[in-house]
Amino acid sequence: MMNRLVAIVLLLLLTPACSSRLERVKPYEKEAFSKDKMLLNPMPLKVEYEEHILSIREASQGGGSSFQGGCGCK
Amino acid sequence: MMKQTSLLAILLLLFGTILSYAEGLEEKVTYSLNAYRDNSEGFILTNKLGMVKSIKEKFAIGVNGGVDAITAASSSNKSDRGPSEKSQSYRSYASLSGIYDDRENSLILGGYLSEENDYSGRSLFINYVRQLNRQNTSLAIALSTLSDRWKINTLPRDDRKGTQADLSITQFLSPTVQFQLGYSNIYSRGYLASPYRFIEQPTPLPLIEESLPASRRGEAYSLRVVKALSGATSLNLSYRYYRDDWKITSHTINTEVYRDLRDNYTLGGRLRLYRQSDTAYTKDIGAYTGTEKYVPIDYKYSAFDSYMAGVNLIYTIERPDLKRYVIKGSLDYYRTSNNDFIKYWYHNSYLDAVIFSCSVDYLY
Repeated sequence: MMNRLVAIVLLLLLTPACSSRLERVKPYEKEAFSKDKMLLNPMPLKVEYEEHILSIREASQGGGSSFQGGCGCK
Repeated sequence: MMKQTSLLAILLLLFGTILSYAEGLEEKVTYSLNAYRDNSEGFILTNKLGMVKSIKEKFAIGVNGGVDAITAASSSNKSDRGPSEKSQSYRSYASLSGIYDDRENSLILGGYLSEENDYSGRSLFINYVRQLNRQNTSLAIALSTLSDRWKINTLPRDDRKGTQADLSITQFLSPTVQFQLGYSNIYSRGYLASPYRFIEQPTPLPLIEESLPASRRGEAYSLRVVKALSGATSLNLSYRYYRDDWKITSHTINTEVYRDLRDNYTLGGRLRLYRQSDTAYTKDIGAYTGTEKYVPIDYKYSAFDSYMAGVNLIYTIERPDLKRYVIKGSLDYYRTSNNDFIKYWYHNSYLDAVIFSCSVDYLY
């Protein structure tokens, strides 16, 4: 799994640098993204709490956006 | 309870001290109140206070702290434990982080600690985000390490260590679409079972304690897409695939739709679907004999589905001096499928719960 982790890090670092085609939206075209509803995580505190609850109730972890500290209920 | 009150008082004092000499970039104070109640007498009430304050150009600090009041349908005392027992406990936690942001690079370094009646947690974390392609692409890497400890002397091992790496790439595709690809690698080792889980056998046979492998490594792959359907409506879709070396796999789909009702009101609806398999060590609840090397008892190590549905509300108050309050509230209903492990432990065929969340951000 560590090899896969290293490969993904390299891919993430190299891919964006390889293509100017990724420069797709001008700064003045980003108005829509200034609204909370267009954020990747519009409700961050709710999601943080929910991820904590779900880490107690479900076995899956990761893929989220917030740091989760230790807890004896997990 | 005195300890938790003292912690909140110290945090409030700390916020006040920092506020008195700081100035700079976007800064905010956040308070959140969250509550969870389920059909097995589980209740968690959380009060949390946080602040981000710049202390110099490009530098800021973040402080967070909170207290959870937890009521659970299992005892914390081994001598009188049992599924029908009810226990009350508190969990207090605090984190401190340093933030650097020059609009191209963002770095957060921090530490976290938590205390419960029977458990303590310590963590360090680092999060780096790099903006590329004129802020069309962002790469993020987050690393965290945990060093937790059960405060129960009779356990064979009382430690839990862990590391987690999260990687993501976010890309704007058009003026109305962005997506994020994520990868998480999570490793845990130590005493990973719960000291409060067991299966009763006919007298005089002993209880069968929960027992789990001493390490676990899991991976999560995620995709999230946000699209503006119109000027007033947006769609937020996400999918996560998880797998680990205990042979658990899961799929999670989450859909959210938001619509502006007015300039400062946004209403959202969400639906989350979840399905997981059991571990390689899980048997039927009645099939354990006590001779197995590993005995997963918590239902979350068995196969089940769940769904969650709810509503979100975002309300923004803009003041003439450009200071803003952002109030966000949500109410969700959660329910699992029928499950024999849930029935054995909670005396219900399934778990269902209501989750409430409310937060106020003051941006100044």
